[in-house]
Amino acid sequence: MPRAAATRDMNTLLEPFLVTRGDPAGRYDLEPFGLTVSPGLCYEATRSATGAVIDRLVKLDSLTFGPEGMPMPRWMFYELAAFPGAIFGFGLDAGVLPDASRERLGLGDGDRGLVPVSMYIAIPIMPRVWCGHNLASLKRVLPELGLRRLASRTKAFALRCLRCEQQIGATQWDSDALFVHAKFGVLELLSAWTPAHEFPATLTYRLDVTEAGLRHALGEGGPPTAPPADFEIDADDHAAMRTLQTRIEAGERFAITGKPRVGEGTRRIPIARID
Amino acid sequence: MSRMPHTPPVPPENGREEPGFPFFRVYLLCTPERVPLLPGLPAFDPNRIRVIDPRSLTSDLFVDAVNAVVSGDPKPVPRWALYDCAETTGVVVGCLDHRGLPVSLLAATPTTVEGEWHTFTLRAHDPGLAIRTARLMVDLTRPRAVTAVSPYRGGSIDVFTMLGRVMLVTAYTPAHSEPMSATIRVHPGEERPTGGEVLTVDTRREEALRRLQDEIESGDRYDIAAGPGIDGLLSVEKTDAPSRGDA
Repeated sequence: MPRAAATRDMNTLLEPFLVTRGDPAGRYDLEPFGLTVSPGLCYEATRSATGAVIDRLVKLDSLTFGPEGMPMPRWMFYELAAFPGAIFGFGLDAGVLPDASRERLGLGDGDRGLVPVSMYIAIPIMPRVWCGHNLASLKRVLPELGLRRLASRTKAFALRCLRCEQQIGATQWDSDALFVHAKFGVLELLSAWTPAHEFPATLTYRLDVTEAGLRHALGEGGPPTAPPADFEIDADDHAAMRTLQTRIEAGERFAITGKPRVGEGTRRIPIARID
Repeated sequence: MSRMPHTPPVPPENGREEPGFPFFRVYLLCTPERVPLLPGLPAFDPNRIRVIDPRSLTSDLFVDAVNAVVSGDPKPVPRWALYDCAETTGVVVGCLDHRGLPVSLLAATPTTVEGEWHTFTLRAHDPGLAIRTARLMVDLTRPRAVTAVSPYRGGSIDVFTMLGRVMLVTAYTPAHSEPMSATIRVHPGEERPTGGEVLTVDTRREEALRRLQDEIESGDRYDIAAGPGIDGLLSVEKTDAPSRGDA
């Protein structure tokens, strides 16, 4: 039976969920930006029933990252996500999804419940400092849903929910994710060329989480204050990344000051030297 | 355990015994920001521990060698996962052979529980080296508790029972890729309280593990009295005694 949902604004139907260990009340902000994470959508990582939730998150991850060749093995969703840290995301009830979406998600007629369409995975480094290692969104995979700002929104709500004050992350210079991360503020570069990672053309950044940055990512207000860029790095210029890394190791400090500038076949990232 | 050629232990050069490590030189792969947060590190002889910054350009060959320790696994932990979820957030530790190459590995990352570290990917060519490697991690981080997930078959539960009291967090774990795995919480240096009801669970039978998991989810708590041997029989003891680490 076809499901009539195309005329509804799916953005208004998104529901936040959280997968973590232990009672999240008190530790986390369960009303980030005034949106309640309902107790029924707070999943305890160690309970058997959470296995089904993980199955759907694995599907979300493979649809997002499979094509890039960096999908996350299933065991990591438990061991390096929900158990030591948290998975925050948004989902839609299976009943409101149009048939085309259900098919792409591999849902059968009998499948019910919340279907995650985005997630942010973070594990703690120390109190209030988190490493975000997965930001997934099905906005492009399910264009018929008309989801807006899904990745930015998910990361902003997650950082607020986790009461994160400083966030560390690693991403590739040519990744679209950089457009999202740069909305949150100045990204100090901890590494510019990272052979320890699967892809050496990876940068590691540190973000001081601010209200202005979170609001900007949600589409409210202008970008957070940033120093003017001193130069740009081409997203394909490995030699420039190595040089920058050498300067970082020599004690200089640099930061990404804004979103990549896209030209004809090029993508250039603005960099400032900082004190 | 990974498949690696046996490398004989190297006797200490100066006869000094280090925490948990009388014979091997060891390595620590972590960020410069993590180093001052490792309470046990000052107790190590700096000549016998090699500290590597994973973000440094000069670390690449050593990181290659560390990843080689897991490369023989059927499903090796991805290199990016070690970087993102241990080297960046916590530590990767292990032993070095006489050439200075890694021969064991244990990755660890802090959890949201204060003083608790989650360990993963314990690899060593023999149980003795695995125990030393786990002890090394404990000596460096001095945690209140250590957690791990271990399949019952060929897993590392016995290694962790050598460190202290081991409590069962999950007996059956569908959220993991191997549901017939245990999640354990180790309280280093703490003795297991005795006197509770002892159960023997056949870990080759999914139904038995599900039943034990149901009891845990209903609020019962169990210590592991003995890890599953070759017969797959796990001995657990019901307990009401809180751990010192939970105080």
